Amino acid sequence: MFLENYGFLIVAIVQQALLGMSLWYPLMAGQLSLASIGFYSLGGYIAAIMGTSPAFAAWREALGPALYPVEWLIALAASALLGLAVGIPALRLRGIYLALATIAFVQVLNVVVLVLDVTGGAVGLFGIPQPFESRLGYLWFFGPLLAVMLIFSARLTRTVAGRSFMAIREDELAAQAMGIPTTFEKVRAFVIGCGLAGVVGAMSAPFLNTWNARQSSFDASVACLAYVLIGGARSVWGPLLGAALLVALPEVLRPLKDARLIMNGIVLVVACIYLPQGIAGLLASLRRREAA
Amino acid sequence: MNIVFLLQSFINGLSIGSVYAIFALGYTLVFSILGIINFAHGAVFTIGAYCTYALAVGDFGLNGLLAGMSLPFRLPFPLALLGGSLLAGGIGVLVERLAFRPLRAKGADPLLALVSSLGVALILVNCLQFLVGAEIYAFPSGIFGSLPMAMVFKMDGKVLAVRTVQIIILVVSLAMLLALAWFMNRTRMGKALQATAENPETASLLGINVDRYILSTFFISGALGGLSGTLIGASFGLAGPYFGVSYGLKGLAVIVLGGLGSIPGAVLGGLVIGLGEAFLPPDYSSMKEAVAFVMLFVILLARPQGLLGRQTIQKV
Amino acid sequence: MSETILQLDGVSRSFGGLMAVGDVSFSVQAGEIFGLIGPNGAGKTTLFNLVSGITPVSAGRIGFLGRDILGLAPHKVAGMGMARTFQNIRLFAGMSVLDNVRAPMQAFSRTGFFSDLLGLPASRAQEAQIMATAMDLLNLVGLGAKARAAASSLPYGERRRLEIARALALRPKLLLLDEPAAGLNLAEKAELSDFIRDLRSRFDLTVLIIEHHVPLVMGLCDRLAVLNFGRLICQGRPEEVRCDKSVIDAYLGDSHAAPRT
Repeated sequence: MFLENYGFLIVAIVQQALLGMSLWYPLMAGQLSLASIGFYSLGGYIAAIMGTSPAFAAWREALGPALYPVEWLIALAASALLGLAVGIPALRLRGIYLALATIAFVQVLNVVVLVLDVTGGAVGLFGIPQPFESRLGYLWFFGPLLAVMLIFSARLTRTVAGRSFMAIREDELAAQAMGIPTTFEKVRAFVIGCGLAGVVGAMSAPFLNTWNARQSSFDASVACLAYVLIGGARSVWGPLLGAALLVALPEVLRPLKDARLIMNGIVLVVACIYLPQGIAGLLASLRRREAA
Repeated sequence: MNIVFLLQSFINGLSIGSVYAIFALGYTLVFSILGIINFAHGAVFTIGAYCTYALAVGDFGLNGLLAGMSLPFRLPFPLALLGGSLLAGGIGVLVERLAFRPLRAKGADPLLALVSSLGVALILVNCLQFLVGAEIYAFPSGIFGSLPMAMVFKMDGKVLAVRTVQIIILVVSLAMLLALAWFMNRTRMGKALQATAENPETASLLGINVDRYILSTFFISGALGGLSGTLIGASFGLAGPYFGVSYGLKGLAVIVLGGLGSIPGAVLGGLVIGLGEAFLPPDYSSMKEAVAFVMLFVILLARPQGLLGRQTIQKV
Repeated sequence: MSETILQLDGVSRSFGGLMAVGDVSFSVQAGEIFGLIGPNGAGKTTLFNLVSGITPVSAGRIGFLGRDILGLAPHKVAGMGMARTFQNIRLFAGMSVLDNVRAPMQAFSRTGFFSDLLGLPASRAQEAQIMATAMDLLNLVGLGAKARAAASSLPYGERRRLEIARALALRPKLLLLDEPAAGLNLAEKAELSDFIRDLRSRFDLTVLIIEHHVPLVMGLCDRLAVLNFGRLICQGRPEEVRCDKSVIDAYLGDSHAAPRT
C-alpha cells in the first residue's frame, strides 16, 4: 500500500537525484553548470520521438523492449557531443562563464523545440509507450542507474582524473602550474554530467508519458542545482540526500498549498548560509564530533 | 526589405534595447562591486512592475490573498513609475541583506551567493504569486492620460507606427542613462562606487565604507530593475509573477555580450540585442527569444571578454 | 660549459602603461641555484609568472630546455619539467596532504580513464607506484605521518614544505621557489639552505629562487640577478653582487641611482 501510494514519489526522488548528480561532476571540478535540464530535455525528446514517431516504427518492431537501451545509448551519445560543443567555448574561461553559457544553451534549446515539427511544438509529444504497468516499475530503470552512478562517483574520487578535478576545484591556477590540463579536465567533468542527464531524460520520457518544453524550465534547472548544494557537493551521497529532502518536502508541506514554493526558496537560502557543506557535510561533522 | 521596415525595426529595436540596457546595468553594478551575479534581479524587475501597476491602477485581480482589493488612491503614471522604482530599490536592498550579506560576513564561496540569490528570487516571486495570483495584468489604455496610443506615419504607401509607450520607454531610458552617467562620474558617491568596483581592498583603505556602498549599489540596481520591469510591463503587459524570469536571463546575455562588469558594455550589449531581435526577418520571428543567447555563444567563441570588456589580469 | 636550462632575452611586461618587468635577460645553467633578489615590488614574482607561462609577456623571448616556450599554456610548460611554488602558498587546501602530492602525477599516467574507474590491473599497479612515490616525497619533507590529514590543517611551515613536495611530484628539471623562507624562523631558514642543496643533488635539479633574506641567498646561491623597478641592474656571483654600487643603492633606497621607468 505504502509503495503504491508513494511509488511515484520514490521514483521521482531517484530520478531527480540522478539529475542532481549530473551537476555533481562539473562541481567536482569547481564548475557551476545549469545545463542538466537541457540535456535531460534532449534525451527525453530522443526517447519520445523514437517511441512515437512513425519513422521509427520499424525500429520498434525489430527491437521490442531492447528499444529502451538503444534510446539510452543514443541519448548518451547526443548529449555528450552537444556537451562538448557547449562546454569547450565556456570552459576555456575561468569563473562564472559555464553557468551563463549553460543557461543560454537551455534557452536556445527551448526555442528550438517549440519551433520544430518533430518535437511537437508547444504541445509536445504524448502517448509515449510505457514498459511498466505501475510507476514503481520504473525503479528498474532508475534504481540500477543510481547504483552504478554512486559506485562511479566513489571510484572517480580515487582516480587520476578525479584528483585532477578536485585540484582544479581547490585552485585552478595552481592546478595549471602543476601541469594539469585544466580546460580538458573541466570539459571532461562537464561532459560526464551531460551524458548522464541525457540518459535520465531518455528514461524519463516513458515514465512521464508525455514530453514538452516545460520539462526544461529555468526553475527545474535551479532545482537540480539545489539538490546537489543542499545535499552536499563534496559527498557522493549529496545529490540523493538533497533530492530526497526537496522532492519530499512539497508532499509534506501539501497543506501549505501555494505557500510551499516560498518554503523551497527559504530552504535554499537557509541552507546556503547555515549548511555550506550541505546535509552530507553536516552529517560528517556530527560523526566527527561523536568520534572525538 | 524596404526602408519602412528598416526604420520600423530600428525604432522597435532602439526602444526595447534601451530597456535591456538599463536592466542589465543593474546586474553590472552589482557584479562590478561584488564580482557576483545577482540572480534575484529578474524577480526585482517583476516586483517593480507590479508595484507601479498597483500605484497607478490600484485594483487587484481575482486571485491571491489580495483578490478584489483596491488601493484607496491612484497615482499618475510618472509618479507611480517613480514609486515603483523606489520600492524595487528597497527590494534590492532586501535581497542584499538576505542573500549576500550573511554569506559575505562568513567569507563563503561565491558559488553559494549565486544560489542564495536564486533562493531569494524564488521567495520573492512566489510571495508575489501568493498575494496577487498568477493571472495576467495589463496597464489600461488610458494610463498615459490624453496621449494617443500611437503615431502613424505613411511613407511610400506603407505604414510606420510608433507607439507612444515606445517613445516613453526611449525617453525614460535615455534620461536614466544620462542620470547614471552623471552620478557615476560627477558625484562623490559615484566615484567612490567606481573605486570600490576597481578594487574593494584599496577602497576600504581609502576610508570608503564598503558596506554602505554595497547597499547603495543594490538600491540603485533594484531601482533600475524595477524601472525596466515597469517599462516592459507598460508595453507588453504583466504576464504573471514569472514574467521577469526570461528577461532576467536575457539580461545575463546582455552583460556577457557587453563584457562582464563593464558599464558602457551593458548599454552597448542591450542595444545590440534589442536591435538584433528587431531586425530578425519576419519569417524567423518565432526564434526571437533565442537571439540574445545565440549572441552569447558567438561572443564566448570570438571574444570572451565581451565587446567592451577588458582582459582580466591574473592575480597570483 | 654546462647546458643552459632557462634563457631570458629582453623579457618585458607592462600592466596598462606600468612597466612591471622591463628588458630582462639572463640565463640559468643546469645544476645551478640561481637567486633572484630585489626590493619589494621589483617585479620578481611577475617574472616568475612570465617564466611559468601564467602571465603572457609583452615583449622578449623565453627559452626552456632549448625550446621557445612563449605562448605555451602553463600546464604544458609545467609538463616540460618546470615546477613552482607560490609566494602566498597555493595548496589544494580541501584535499588531503597525500592527494596534494598525487594530483600533479597525472602527468605521468599511462592508463585510461575507464581502466582507472574499473580498477584494472594496469591502473592498480600505477596507483601503487603513485602512492609509493608520493609517500617518499612526503617522508622527504617530513610529512609522511600526516599523509591523510587535510592540507588546510597543517601549520604554516609544513604548508611550505608540502608545496615543495607537490612541486617535486612533477619530477621537474627546473624548480622555481618564490620566497620559500618567508615566515620561517632563523633555525628553519638555516635548515632550508641545506634542504634546497640536498634537493638539487638528489633530484638533479636546477633551482631559481626568489628570496628576501640576504644571508640565506648569499650562502645558498651560485649566481644572483638583482631586479629593481622591473629592470635587471646586476648579475653575477654573490660576492660580485654584494659589492655592486647599484645594488647597494637599490637596497639603501637611493632611488635616484636606480633607473626608473
